[in-house]
Formats: sequence, structure tokens, C-alpha cells
Amino acid sequence: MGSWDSFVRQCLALALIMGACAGGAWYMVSPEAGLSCVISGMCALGFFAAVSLYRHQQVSRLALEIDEVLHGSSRVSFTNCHEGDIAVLSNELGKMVDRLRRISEQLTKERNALSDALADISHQIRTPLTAMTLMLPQVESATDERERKGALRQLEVQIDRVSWLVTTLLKLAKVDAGALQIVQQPVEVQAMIARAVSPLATSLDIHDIELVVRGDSLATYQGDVRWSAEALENIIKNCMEHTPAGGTIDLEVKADSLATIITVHDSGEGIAPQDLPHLFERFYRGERATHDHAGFGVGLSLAFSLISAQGGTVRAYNDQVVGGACFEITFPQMIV
Amino acid sequence: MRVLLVEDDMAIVDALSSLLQSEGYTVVSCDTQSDACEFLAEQTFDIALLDVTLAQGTGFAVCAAAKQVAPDMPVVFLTASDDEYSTVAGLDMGAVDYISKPFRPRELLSRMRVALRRAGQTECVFTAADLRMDTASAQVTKAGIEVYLSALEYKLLLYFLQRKGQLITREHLRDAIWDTAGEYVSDNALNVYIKRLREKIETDPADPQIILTVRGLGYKVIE
Repeated sequence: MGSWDSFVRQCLALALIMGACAGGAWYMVSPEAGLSCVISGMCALGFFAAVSLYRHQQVSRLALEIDEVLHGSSRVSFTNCHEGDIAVLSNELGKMVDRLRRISEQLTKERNALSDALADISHQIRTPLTAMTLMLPQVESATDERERKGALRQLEVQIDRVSWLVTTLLKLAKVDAGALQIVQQPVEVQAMIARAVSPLATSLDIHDIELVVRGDSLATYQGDVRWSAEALENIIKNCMEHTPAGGTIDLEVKADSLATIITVHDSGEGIAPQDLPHLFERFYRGERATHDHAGFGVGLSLAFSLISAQGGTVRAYNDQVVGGACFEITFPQMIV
Repeated sequence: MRVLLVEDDMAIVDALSSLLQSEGYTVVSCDTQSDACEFLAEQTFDIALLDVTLAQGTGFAVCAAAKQVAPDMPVVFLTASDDEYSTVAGLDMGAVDYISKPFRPRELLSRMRVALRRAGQTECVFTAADLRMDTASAQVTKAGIEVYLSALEYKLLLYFLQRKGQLITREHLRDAIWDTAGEYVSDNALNVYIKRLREKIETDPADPQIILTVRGLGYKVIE
């Protein structure tokens, strides 16, 4: 054993030095001095051997404990040694093992989440793909132009759904991985709202829903105008899907020294209480996911992620006074 | 109108070429940067559609070459992802617009028209009787007085005025609305929209002179 060899070497070296001192004392001073040198030398050697052995024992025990951790046992806490240096080393090792353990748990959790997400995603895509495959024979077997057109149209709807799903999932993945480029700059709320509403203008018209914007028209906040607009667009789209024809979607903007708040309030039937806590979860479609509201449950999830990535928050609740769903987006004016 | 299409996915090239040809464009396509640069040097085009990621070379390099040879020709990038970097870089390079895949075919056509209008290649102003539509300012006037149209009404009117004298079936209109709004509207709804539009732009909505009904077939706008 290497450490034993070095221990023996050290003892021999010490013995030699002591011997030399004793010899020198014997010849240069007197035999008694030499004898007392030999005796004190032997005491020193004995003391040295004892301390070395003790230290060696502590170190081997520490090494054994480290070995146990390496071989998978995660429930090891390092012994509290009394010996100064070893105690310090033991403490540091304890801390390092804790940190490594936490990292390992985190990675396992993330890996599981990722594989769950992949399973979810392939399931979600599989459904419209199956629908599309089934629609093809309908197109082929259609007897007249009108029927064929109708079948093709349904196919187009499914293709559109998958496109939307893929694009949104990609964005979500980018946000999750921190790979989305988010600029933090002053954003004018009015301009951001205009950008969010513009792609929905025709749909709002078709659904006969009025969009009203009121409140502080000069409000600003720190964020990314592009992703804010996209998040808001998703929220408004969700409101649109749950608001009957002739209804309104009201956007109120409030700004003070603490935060800028944008509240989206629709005149629909509101959010079911059991859905509220899960509203922003990926793929959550709600208890009343019917044929009409056949979404994938990713729009609100994306909105949540995009807003959070800019340092903002969003929460959903039902309006207690006039009913309808409310989405409150808050951008703090400064990071406290 | 001549279009240069630089794209390396053959399926997209085939489908897009057919679509553009059916819209009256002449399409020249290639799949590499070097070919594209050659074509740019030898021929003139009215608009270029460039895929950002090519097997050989990049759309950016082609854009740079295009700006050298024909600085006034509008360039539209086709990007595979919503990559902010690519799109900003593309716009910085002088591209007039970008569209990310997957895109609806008519969305692309519409953007191409906007790009061509801005470059002065096509008309900005459409007229019919005393109705005037200026797409540059998005203003519609009747007998000099401004008319306020909703987003849908504006799009419908533009669709009509771009096809003066042609027969426009209800199917055409529904397809047009689908391509811009992602909604298929019912026959009833379509009737309502046309009626509302007529109320705003016709002198006498009950006796339409601009958007005429072709019994059993659809509509036609007077020349």
C-alpha cells in the first residue's frame, strides 16, 4: 500500500535524523546528552507514528465514504472529524456532493419532462395527421366538384392546424431552451396592441366581435414588442374563440410607477373554475373542449412563456361583476 | 411579371411555380446561389423570392448580388423558421419582406403584390365609377368623401377591384377570406358582408352599380 510505504519512509527518515542528532550529542556533548536525545527521539517518533496513523485512518474513512457516493449510494453524509484539516476537507466534500446530487436530480427531472413533452407532441400531431389520411379517400371518391371541394377544404383545415401546432411548439421549445432572442427595450403599449390585433382584424369582423382599447394611451414598459404582440394575439384569439357573436373584447391599459397592466376582458361565458389553475399548461384543453373550440392547448401556454421571458406575469380570472374571462398582463417598471 | 425563385426543395418549387404561373407570372427557378447569380446577371426580373437556407450558398448572398444588379427589384425571403436573426438580417440587407414557412399560398401572393406595388411595379390605386381605393394609404373614397371600411370589407373590396370585369364566384371569395383570415364563411355570412359593403360604397345599395350580381354565378365589378 502506497501510503504505508511512505509512512515507513517518513518514520525511517525521522529515525535517521534523530539518530544523527543523538550521535552528534553523544560525541560532542556527553553520553547522557546522547541518551536523552535517543529517548526524546524515540518519543518524537512514537508521537509522529500515532498522529500519522490517526490521520491516515481519517483519510481512509473519507476515501471510503467518497467511494460509496461514487458507487451510487446517495444517502451519505460525511463524518464530522475533529482533526482540523481533515474536518475542513470533509465539509467541502460534503457540500460538493450535495451540489452534484442536486444537479443530477435536476437533469433527471428535465430529461423526464422532455421525453414526456416529446410523447405529448407526437400524440398531438398524430391526431390531425390521422384525420388527414382519412380525408384523402373522401377527396378521391367525391362524385361532384362541390363534394370534392368540401373534402379538400376540410383537409386544408387540418393542415392549417398542424402548421400552427408545429410553429407554436417550436417557439415554446426555443423559449424553454432560452434560445429565443428577447430584447428588452421601451415598448409603447398602443403600438404593441395594434401589432397584436392587426392579424386578427378580419377574424374579429367575421365573428362579429368588437375590440375596444381604452386607458392610458401613452403607457410604456420594458420588453420585447414582437413577442409581447404575439403573446397578446394568442390571448385575444383565445378570447375570440370563447365569445359569442355580437360580443366585445375590452382591452384596458393602466400604468403607474410600479407596473404597466394590460387587462383583456371578453364577454363570453368565462373560464370554468376547474380549468383556472391549469389554463396555461401545455396541451391543456379544458373540461369543455368541444368540437367548436378544438384548439391544442398551446396558444395560452405560449403566451405565458413569452410574457414570463420578458419579466412579466399573466394571470387569468373571471370577472365577478359582469362575467366573462379576464387576462391580466403585468410588466413591472423595474426589477426589484 | 417575371419572378426569380431560388429554392432547393423540389416539392415547393413545383407547387409554387404552378401557383405563380396560374396567376400570370413567368417563373424562373434554380436551387443554388451560383445559378441564381448567373440568372440575375443575364436576365431581368420584376421580383425575387429567395429561400434563406440553400444546399449551396445562402439566400443572403443572392440578395446581395440582386441588389448590385437590380437595386430596385423587390426581394422577398422565404425563411424556414421564425428566426429573428435571419429576418432582421434579411430586412437589413434590403429585402422588402419575408414570409416564414409554412405559409398559405395566397398569403405569399398578397405579399408579392404589396412588394410590387411599393416598388411601383403595379398599380396602387384602383377605381370603379366614383369609387377610389388607394392601397398605399389604405384610403377609400366615394365621390371624394372618405369611406370607412372594416378590415374584412377592405379586403373584399380590394379583391373585387383587382379583378374588374371578371366573374367572381362565391367560392373565390370564400377562398380569399380563408387565405387571409383562416376562416371559411358560410353563404349567409358572405351575403351579409357583401350587403354591408354595398351599403357603404354604392350610391343606391338596392341597385348596385359597382359590384354587380351575376344571377346564379356570383359577382362582377364594372370595368
